[in-house]
Amino acid sequence: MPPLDDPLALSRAAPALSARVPIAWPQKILIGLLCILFVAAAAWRPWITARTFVLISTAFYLAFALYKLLLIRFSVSRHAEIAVGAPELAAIVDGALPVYSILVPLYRERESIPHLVKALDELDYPADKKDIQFLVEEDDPETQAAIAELALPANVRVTPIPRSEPRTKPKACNIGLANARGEYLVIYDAEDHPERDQLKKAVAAFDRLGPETVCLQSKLNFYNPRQNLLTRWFTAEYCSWFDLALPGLAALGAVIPLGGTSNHFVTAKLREMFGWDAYNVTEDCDLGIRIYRNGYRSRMLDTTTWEEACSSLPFWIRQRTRWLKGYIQTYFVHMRNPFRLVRDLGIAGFLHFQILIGGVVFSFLINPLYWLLALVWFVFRLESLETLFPGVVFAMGALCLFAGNFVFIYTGAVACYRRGYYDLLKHALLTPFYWVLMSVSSWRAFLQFFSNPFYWEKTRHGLFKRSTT
Amino acid sequence: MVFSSAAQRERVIRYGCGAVVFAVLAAAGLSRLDRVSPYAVAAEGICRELIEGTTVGRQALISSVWWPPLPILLRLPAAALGGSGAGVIPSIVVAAFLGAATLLLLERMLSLWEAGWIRIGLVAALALHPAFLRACVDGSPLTGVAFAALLAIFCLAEWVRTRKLRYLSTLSIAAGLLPAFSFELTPWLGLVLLVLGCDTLFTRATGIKKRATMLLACLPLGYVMGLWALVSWLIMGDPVYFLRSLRRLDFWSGPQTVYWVPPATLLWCMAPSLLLLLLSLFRRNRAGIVLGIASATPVVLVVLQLHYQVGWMTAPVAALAVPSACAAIAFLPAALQLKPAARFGFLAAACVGAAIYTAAAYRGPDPLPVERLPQDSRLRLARIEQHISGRTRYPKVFVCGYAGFGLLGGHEPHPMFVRNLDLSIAKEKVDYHGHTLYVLLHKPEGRSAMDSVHWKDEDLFTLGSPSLLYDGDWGDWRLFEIIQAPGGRD
Repeated sequence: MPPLDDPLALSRAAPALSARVPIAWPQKILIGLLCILFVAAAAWRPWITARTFVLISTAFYLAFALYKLLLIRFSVSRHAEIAVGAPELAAIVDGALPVYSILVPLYRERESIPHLVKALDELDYPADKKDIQFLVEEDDPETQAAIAELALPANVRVTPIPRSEPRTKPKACNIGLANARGEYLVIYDAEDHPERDQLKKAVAAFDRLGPETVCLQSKLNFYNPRQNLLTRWFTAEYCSWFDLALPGLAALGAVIPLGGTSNHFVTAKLREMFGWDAYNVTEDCDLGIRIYRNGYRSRMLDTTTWEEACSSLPFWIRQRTRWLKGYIQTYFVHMRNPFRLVRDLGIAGFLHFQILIGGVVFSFLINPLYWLLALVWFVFRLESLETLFPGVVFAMGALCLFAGNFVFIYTGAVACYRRGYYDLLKHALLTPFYWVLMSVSSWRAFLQFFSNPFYWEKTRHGLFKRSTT
Repeated sequence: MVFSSAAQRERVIRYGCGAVVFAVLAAAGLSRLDRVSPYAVAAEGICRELIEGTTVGRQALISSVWWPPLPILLRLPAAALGGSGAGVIPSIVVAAFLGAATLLLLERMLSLWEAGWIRIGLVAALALHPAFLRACVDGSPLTGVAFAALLAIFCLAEWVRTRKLRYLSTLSIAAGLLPAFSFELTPWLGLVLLVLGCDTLFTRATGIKKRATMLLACLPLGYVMGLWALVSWLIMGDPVYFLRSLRRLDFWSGPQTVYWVPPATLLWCMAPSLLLLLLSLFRRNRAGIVLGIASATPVVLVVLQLHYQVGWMTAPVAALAVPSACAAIAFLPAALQLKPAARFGFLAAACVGAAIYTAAAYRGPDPLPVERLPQDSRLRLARIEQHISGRTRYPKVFVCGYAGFGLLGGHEPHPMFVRNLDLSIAKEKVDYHGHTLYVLLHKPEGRSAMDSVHWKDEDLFTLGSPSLLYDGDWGDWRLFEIIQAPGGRD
């Protein structure tokens, strides 16, 4: 058993659950065989192969659209979110509150520090019970200098993160976890503005829920939704994901791929699961799956943390590349032993995993192919393309066209309305252009997964504050 | 069985009953396959073409507002699963399913508006109404229309009452689906959206929220129409091909042959709606006002159409009359602000009234005269085949319009018959060079009058054209031979 302060504990104690080895040998062999089979089939019977591929992907699209509808339906059920009302909050006695650890990984976040300190200070929780750790990389003098300039409150500690591989956020978080003193623990990013009563709500929710709930995911949204078109689309997407899809998943009792910040944990349980996988670039998503595999549950907490939406397209692509690469990592890690995964998650949970983790990336990867086919058909009207869509496949494709695309666009619009972003509705209608950006990122992620799997493409924060200044 | 909550038990009972009703309706429909609606026969042919991936199948799916795509798409999975032997069964199963769904929706509405157990009586009154029963078992698209429209009425009232986003989004989806279900309901739908617009306008909210509300409400409708135009452009080469028959609406005149409710007794359905409207106006109950308007207008529209002898809108709009009257009855106690005992008394009286109304429908004249079914189509087709075979060795007969699906739908026709929805004589001459070509046209009456072959050339059926030579009549069908002599003008 590795020591608890080992930031790579998971990869040592349960290497099969770590992305340290991105693709296991049996997976490599299977992928190789599938590629050979596909190439051979394409050479031997190209049209049948193409038709089969079109059939599979069309069926997938249809299932994905129906799945999203299902999530929206369940997102409005009363089991979707844990709501803590004002009377319940008022009844909380400060003296009875447990110590709450707050981890804030920082890397080149000089601009965000003053706002961060203020936001954490404003959290409605007894100061002496807030155990705040700034996790600062040793080779980040500018952040260290920015922290040194401030007179930090007594409840804030600076935990240096030694310069060692892998240089990832989860590794820093694991070090923070080892030093955490709180009964509960939450992760915030440098630019986060959590709602003031979020910690108290989390404590009340943990008290109300059974011991199987070890994680509460807060909703995330942006404080700069109207900065430019990209942030408007990004906001529509976040509204759709955190306000509709994740509550829908929670209502269904399905696995919740956690968001990167504002995850509240029961510290002891998190340690029991060896914290985060230091080699996974979307450690939050992976941890969300592991929580279920360990027999625990995550729920959605009805509170919001406001973040900064990435407003620069190059940085947005880099951020999205990392997220999607992490999804691919997570998929391969948990699919090393599919039978065990079925046993751990159950059939329904397994299907949720397939469509949520594998399906999302798959759809973004194959979207360009369908757009290209559509374009070729529009321009050249090649009748040979029609043979790819025999009767039933054409019908399924038509249903995807009629219903599928609409579901995705409409979901974004409804989510914006629900959030009160009424002016963003019209921008949500343009999300098909956003899908193009997603596909670009997914192909980058796919290629990077093989070429540089652990590379952490840092998200640049502070662009909004800088531009408004 | 152990239920974790009363709500779960209620849900299981509700959907269990729904499943039983569906099974009974489907079984009743399957036991009388010889008495299906003409729509079911045509839908069978369209589904078959779609499954085979033919161009005419795709054209049939999108080329006319009078044959909207959604009822066909709903039948398609069952048709694909059933294979060529499925016949009209998919239509019957879908109609029965949507009929059961309509009853479930009505029950849900009545339950939400606290009608108590007496709601069962109102639902039963609708379920046992002979016209509703027939629509459920004959494979017609009317049950689907009733379901979508009733959903729109319900969600409109609930949105105004509770302002819950789920009702607005469901209303908008129902509004978006309605034209793809039944284009005849578009005027009514326009009115519903107008009512929603007025309500939004007089709500205390920011201008941007009002605009967002209307955008959200109309988004699916705009999307569906835009997509239909796009697909029409792709398949027919004309983005408004499916709308072109609208300029020939006057062609479709005369009394409708299909009613959900006999016109004479239709007015009774308006009474609860008008009462609700008046009381709600008096008490300034906004939800009651919008529900009163939305539920009364179908009957008003039908009466207007009957008066002006405009037949095209009647059947689907009339299909709404009884369910929307039930909705109005259910909402009346709330509008009247009745106490529980008075509420019970009122609903019991309404229930008795509904039972009498339903019972009377069995005693009067047939409330839903069956359209002439193409039961003799096989015989008719055999005669045409015999007639043509005796004259030429290589014939091709273009069976034009959607009526052609009805004529050819029920069985495998001779290969000489070709379904056609977009007749271009010049093109057919090139494509079938060397054949003797014929055109088979249905008399332009009712829905058939809206087929492209008639709106492209209004006098084609009566006068023919320079390229078409009259050959003979077989009932409502008329055969023309395409003149292929050199110099013939197309």
